[in-house]
Amino acid sequence: MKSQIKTNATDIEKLKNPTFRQDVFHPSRLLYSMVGAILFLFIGWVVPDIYYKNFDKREYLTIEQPVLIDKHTYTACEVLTATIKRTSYIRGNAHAVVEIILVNADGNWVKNTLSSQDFNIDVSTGQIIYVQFVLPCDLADGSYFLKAVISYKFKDIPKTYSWVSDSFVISSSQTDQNLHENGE
Amino acid sequence: MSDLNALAVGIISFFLGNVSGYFISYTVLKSKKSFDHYSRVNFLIIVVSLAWVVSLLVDILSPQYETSPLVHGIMGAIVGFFFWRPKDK
Repeated sequence: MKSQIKTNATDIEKLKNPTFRQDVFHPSRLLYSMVGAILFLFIGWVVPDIYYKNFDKREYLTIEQPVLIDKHTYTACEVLTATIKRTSYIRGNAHAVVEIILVNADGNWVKNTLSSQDFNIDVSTGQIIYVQFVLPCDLADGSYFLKAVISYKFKDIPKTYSWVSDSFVISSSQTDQNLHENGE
Repeated sequence: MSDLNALAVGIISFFLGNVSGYFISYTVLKSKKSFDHYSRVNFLIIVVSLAWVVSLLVDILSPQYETSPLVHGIMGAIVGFFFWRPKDK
């Protein structure tokens, strides 16, 4: 305690010394402070920016795939419920475009946009979301699946993530539907 | 919940800083070595610079954390202020 008081007294004595005071409050210190602040600010902004723009390959929004759907067979105009298990490491806004894709007999895909909507994402792990889609009434019979492209921004850098659902069948025949639902 | 985490990290860091500072000063006093003004200043510069580097790394590694530009600026100003030396020193 004594040495502490002595040190403080010495510091006060030093401050009374004009030369020491000139050193402490020298104008060059202000310049150095400004240069230091600008340098740290610049590096603190540039280094993470370069990293995130060029080297960062992490996904900040993931969805367990394939996305589950409530049934195997639907009729046109019916409502399909998709169960999305989402993990997000960030919060913000996102935009999703969901397409319904018909797989032809020759293996080609025929795409139709099913929905396009904005939504919010929050930090979460394994969050389960039920999303309903009304199937278009003009769908031809066949095997389909859903594909979505989600676009969002992380630190002002655009990112995209896509998911696909289980495949399902559109059938106008009620008999076919009953057979599928009974697992026959 | 994340606000509570941030508060907990702040309190823990505060206590760790105090305890480590106490042990460092205790070690220095016990060694009875003279720890002059510029040695203390150099130590301060190193500590602040290390804290800044850690904040930069966390900025890169944790997507949920972003160091405030104000904090970068203050740390840089402290280092710059103490970095200056009179010509005869």
